[in-house]
Amino acid sequence: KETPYDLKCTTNNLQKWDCSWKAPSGASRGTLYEFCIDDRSHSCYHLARTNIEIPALSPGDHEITISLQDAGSSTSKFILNEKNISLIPDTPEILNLSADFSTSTLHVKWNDKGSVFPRHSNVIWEIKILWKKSMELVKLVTHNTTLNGKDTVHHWSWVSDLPLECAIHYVGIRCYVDNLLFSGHKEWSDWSPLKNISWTPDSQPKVFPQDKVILVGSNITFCCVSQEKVLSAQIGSTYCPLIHLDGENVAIKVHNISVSENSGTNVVFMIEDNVCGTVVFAGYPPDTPKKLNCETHDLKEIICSWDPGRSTGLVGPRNTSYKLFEGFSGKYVRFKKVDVSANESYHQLLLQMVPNQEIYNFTLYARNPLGRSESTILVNITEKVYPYTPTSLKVKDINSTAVILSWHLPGSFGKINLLCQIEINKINSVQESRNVTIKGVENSSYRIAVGKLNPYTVYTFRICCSTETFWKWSKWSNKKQHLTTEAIPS
Amino acid sequence: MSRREGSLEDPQADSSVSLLPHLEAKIRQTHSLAHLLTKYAEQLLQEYVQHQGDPFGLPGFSPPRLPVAGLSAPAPSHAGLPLPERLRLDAAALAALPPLLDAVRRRQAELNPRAPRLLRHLEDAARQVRALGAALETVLAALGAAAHGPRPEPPATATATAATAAGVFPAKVLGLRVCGLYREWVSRTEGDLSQLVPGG
Repeated sequence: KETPYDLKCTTNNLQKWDCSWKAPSGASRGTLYEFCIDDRSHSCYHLARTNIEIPALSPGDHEITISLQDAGSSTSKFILNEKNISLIPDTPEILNLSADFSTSTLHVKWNDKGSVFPRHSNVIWEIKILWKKSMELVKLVTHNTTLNGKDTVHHWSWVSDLPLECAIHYVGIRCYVDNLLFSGHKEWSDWSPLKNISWTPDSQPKVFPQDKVILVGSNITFCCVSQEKVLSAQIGSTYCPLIHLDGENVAIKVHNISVSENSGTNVVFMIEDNVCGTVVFAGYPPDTPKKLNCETHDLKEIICSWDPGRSTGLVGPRNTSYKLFEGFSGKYVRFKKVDVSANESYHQLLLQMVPNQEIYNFTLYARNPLGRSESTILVNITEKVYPYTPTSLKVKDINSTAVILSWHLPGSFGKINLLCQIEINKINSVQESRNVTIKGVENSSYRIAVGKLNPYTVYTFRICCSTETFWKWSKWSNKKQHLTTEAIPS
Repeated sequence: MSRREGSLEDPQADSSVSLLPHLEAKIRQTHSLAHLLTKYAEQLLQEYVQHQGDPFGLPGFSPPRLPVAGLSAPAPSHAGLPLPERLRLDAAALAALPPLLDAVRRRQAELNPRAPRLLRHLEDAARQVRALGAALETVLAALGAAAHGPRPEPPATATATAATAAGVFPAKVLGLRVCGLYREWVSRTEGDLSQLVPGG
C-alpha cells in the first residue's frame, strides 16, 4: 500500500482514544506523519510513529487525514466514529489475595480505578479461580459494581470446597465496562496477572479440614497433604475413592454426611505404616426452644425452663449455649448445658427478680457452631407463682371445735393474695376441703383459724397453696394429725 | 522400713532372697494390685476404643505407635535386664502415666461428656497407677534397689499439654496410645513383681 492504512482506535477510559495505523510500504522507521482531525479546531499532530493518543471525539463522523511528511501525495483519509471504537478497559490488578485457611476462604481485593472514567459506568468483573499446578479452572464468577468517578477498592470472598491447604489456588480478574452511553464496541479487558495462595506443608502428613463442624447432609471434601503415597481413605468404616491432587496429596469427597457420634466422625488416610486423620462433627443448629416457661416459687427468683427440641448431635465445646435476656431491665444470664444431665429435654435458668418489676420480656437465645435460634415470652410474674411446698404445718387449739393452723411458705408475697386449700380428714368420714384466701406476707409465716370441727376428734390436716391469680398449686404439705379438745360440759 | 530388709543388688546374696514377712506381704500386695490393674487396663482400653468411633477398633485400623515424651513402650530387651533394673524402669513408667491419663481424660470430657463411665475409669486409672507406682517405690526402697536421686519431672506433662492442643484425631490416637502403654506397663510390672513373690 502506498499510503497509511488500517486505522484502528480503541479506548480504555472513554476519555482518550488510542489510534494506530499501518505504515505504507517503503516507509522507513523515522518517517514523519501528520495526523489531522477535521473538527472545529482542525487539530493536527506531527509524529514519528504510527500511533497516537487523542482526546475522545464527540459522537458522529470525523474525517481523519494521515499524511507522510515530505512524501508528496502520500495521504490517507479515514472516517472515524465512536461506533468504530473498541472500549477495552485496562488490565485490572489484584491488590491483595489472602486466605483464611480455617474457613477455606479466599479474600480478593482490587482497585477499580474508577477515577479514569468520566462517567458512571456499570462494570462486570469476572473472577476465575484455578487450582493445582495444572491450573484447573474451578470457579468462574461475575461480580457487578459501578464506577463512580473515584478509585474504589473492592473485596470479594469465596469459600473453596477443597481446603486451601490441599492445593495451590490461583486467582485472576478481568473487567467489562458496560457504559450505556458509549456507542462503540465493548470488550473484556485482559486477565490480570494471577495471584496464588499455597500452604507450606511440614514433614508430617496432615489432613484438612481439622475438626470442622458442619450441617448434617452437607457435602464436604477432605484432603491429606502428604510426602508419601496415600494408600486408602475412609470416613468411619466406609472407604472412599481417592482424588489425586498435586504430588502425593489426595482428597476424598463425602456426600450427604450423616450425624456424627459424640466424639465426631473420623476421617482417616492410610499411608505406608502410618495413619493420619481428622474428625468432623456433623450436627444440627439449635432448634427453636420450645415450651419456654418462666415462673417463680417465691417472687424473688425467676425460673425459666424450656425444651431444647431436636438434639443437635453436638456435645462438649460444640454444645448449644443459651442466654436468657430480659428486655426491660437489660439483665441476662447464660447457660451452658451440662452434658451429663440425664434429662435431655429439660433445661432451666435462674434469674433474680428486679425490684418492683412485675412484667418481664424474656428472650431466650440458643446458639451453637451451626446456627442460632430464639424464643420469647412476656410474663407478669405475679401471675406465674408456683409456691414452694408449705412446711412446718402446726395445729393449735382455739377451743374444742376450732384450731389455728400455721405453716411456713417461703416467698415475698406481701403484695398479693394467696389461695390455699386445707384438706381436713376425719377417720371414717368423708374428706373435706376448704379454700381460703389469705393476705400474702413477706416473712413467710402464715396462720388461719379452722372452725366447725367436732370436739374430741382426731383430724388429719394438710395444706397446699397457690395465688389468687392462679397458676399452679404448690405440692401438698406433710399431713398433721390432731385431736380436738373435749367440749366443756354445758 | 528404714533399714534395707533384703538386697537384690548384693551379688553374693542367695538368688532366692530371704525377705522379711512384712516386706513379703508388701510385695504380694503390690503384685496383687498390679494384677488387678492389668485387668482394669484391658477393660479401659476396650472402653476407650468403643467411644472413639469407627475405624477405631476395626480390624485393619492400627494407628502408628506414636512416641510419647517421657514414656516409651517396654523395650524388647526389658525381659533380659536384671530384676532391679526392670522394676526401676517399671516405677519410672508408672510415674509418667498419671499426667498422661489425666490429659486423655480432659480431652475425652470434651469429646465424650456423656460417657461418665469412661471418664471415671480414666480418672481411676490415673489414681490407681499412681498408687501402684508408690507401692513399687516402697518395695524398691526396702530392697535397696530404688533409683538414685530424685525422679526427674516426667516430661510426659509436655505431651499432656500437646494432647490438649492437638487436633481431635491426633488426640484420639494419642489417647489410644496412652491407654495401650498403661496396659503394657502395668502388665509388665505384674510380671516383674511375680518374680519377687515367693513361689510366684
